Amino acid sequence: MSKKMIVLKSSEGVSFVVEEAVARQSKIISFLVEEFPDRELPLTNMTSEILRKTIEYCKKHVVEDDGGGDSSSSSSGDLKEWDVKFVAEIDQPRLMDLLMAANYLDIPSLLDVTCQKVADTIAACNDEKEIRATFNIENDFTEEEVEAIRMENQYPI
Amino acid sequence: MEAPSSGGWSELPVDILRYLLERLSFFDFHRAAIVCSNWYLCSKQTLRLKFRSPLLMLCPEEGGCRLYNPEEDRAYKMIFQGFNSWETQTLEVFCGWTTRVETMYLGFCKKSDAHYREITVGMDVRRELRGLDDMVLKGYNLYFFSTRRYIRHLDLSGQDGVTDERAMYAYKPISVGEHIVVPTSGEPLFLYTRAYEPTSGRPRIFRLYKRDAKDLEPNTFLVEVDSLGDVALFVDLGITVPADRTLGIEPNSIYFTRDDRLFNHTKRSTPCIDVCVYNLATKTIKPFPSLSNFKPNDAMWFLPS
Repeated sequence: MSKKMIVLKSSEGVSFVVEEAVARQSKIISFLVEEFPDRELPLTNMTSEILRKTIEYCKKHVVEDDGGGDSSSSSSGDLKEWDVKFVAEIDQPRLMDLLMAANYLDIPSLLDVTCQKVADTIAACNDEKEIRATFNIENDFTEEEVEAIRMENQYPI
Repeated sequence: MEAPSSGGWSELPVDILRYLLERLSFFDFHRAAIVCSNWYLCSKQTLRLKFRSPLLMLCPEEGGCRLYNPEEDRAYKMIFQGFNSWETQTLEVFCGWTTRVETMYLGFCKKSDAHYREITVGMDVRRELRGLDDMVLKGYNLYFFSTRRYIRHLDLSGQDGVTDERAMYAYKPISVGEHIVVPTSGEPLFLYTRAYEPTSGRPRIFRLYKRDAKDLEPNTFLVEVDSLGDVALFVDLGITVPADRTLGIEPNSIYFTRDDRLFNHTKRSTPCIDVCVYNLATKTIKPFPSLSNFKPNDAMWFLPS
């Protein structure tokens, strides 16, 4: 039983050869593979770095899913640990690219872990100024607007 | 560090941003909403189901105000000005004591009002509505719990504010007593009893306590006694007696008549006579129904010698 391989091409034109089962975790690739079998799939909006990261994630997850049908609780626990480590190593700008990639390729579990990392980062901030600084976001509100929004956010009685 | 390829975090596509905001806690969500206009607009389209979870407002010693979220086990500084005034959004009720006379002052003030208007809880309201044990403000409805266990409801939404809608009566204890009993051996016992109006259908409560013999510290609390064993307790005499089946002295029982003998000597109020035997093991009360024919002014258990 030989494993079918497919080729994914990054925006820099670098080709990545991956097992079909690995790539099929992306619902988009799954669809493309069926529509265009035996063709190189160009992913023009993904850098090689992000594509490599995405494939790394998919490889890890396909092995676990493949393993023993329903993966045991310990292995799913290990997988969670692996996920945490995986996102912890990614810096802020690349986290966003990876999040966008997960969204574009439609890999729900990767979107989930990347979003959680962002949520955790927001939770670690003391106020909105720190959130802006952390995510390099410009404050485009006037002071009056901020005040108005704060008034909106009153807890209903 | 290289800049992100697209417009950055503020330009995240709406569906991703919404997915992200949905998983934030109550506080983080509101912080995120004022980060930038895109995040704000997206927060408006986000369904937040966890918003109704209970929160605790804390006023720490060092001043200021904190909000505690039990879900996260985390306290937050009150950064939002708006939070401070959530209760005063439409209506403010002030409660305090005036220094001039020893009466409670209660006033309310609507958002557009320049001054407080007084709500009387003293001599000029009906007797049973006087006093204030508790108070709840719900929207424009103000509920009082008077010292005589009435609930008074004021609707403050009208032009003139006050309409007395209804009064409700709540059950209250008619008699509460504390007694000491010196048993044949060991430390004195402490007995607490409480009785409700007969119409409430609630039985009299008996609680028996003693000092822990091992604990020599004078200021420690008593421990509850679940069983007297083969002994009967006579509250009127303040003693315990060995149970005796042939004499009809029931074991593990409290022989009770009334709480108010010591304090009712002025005879101003009707005595609260409640002759019964309480069994600690079964937690049941044995009444003596035919006694009600006598309408006694006093009653007392004793042991004929």
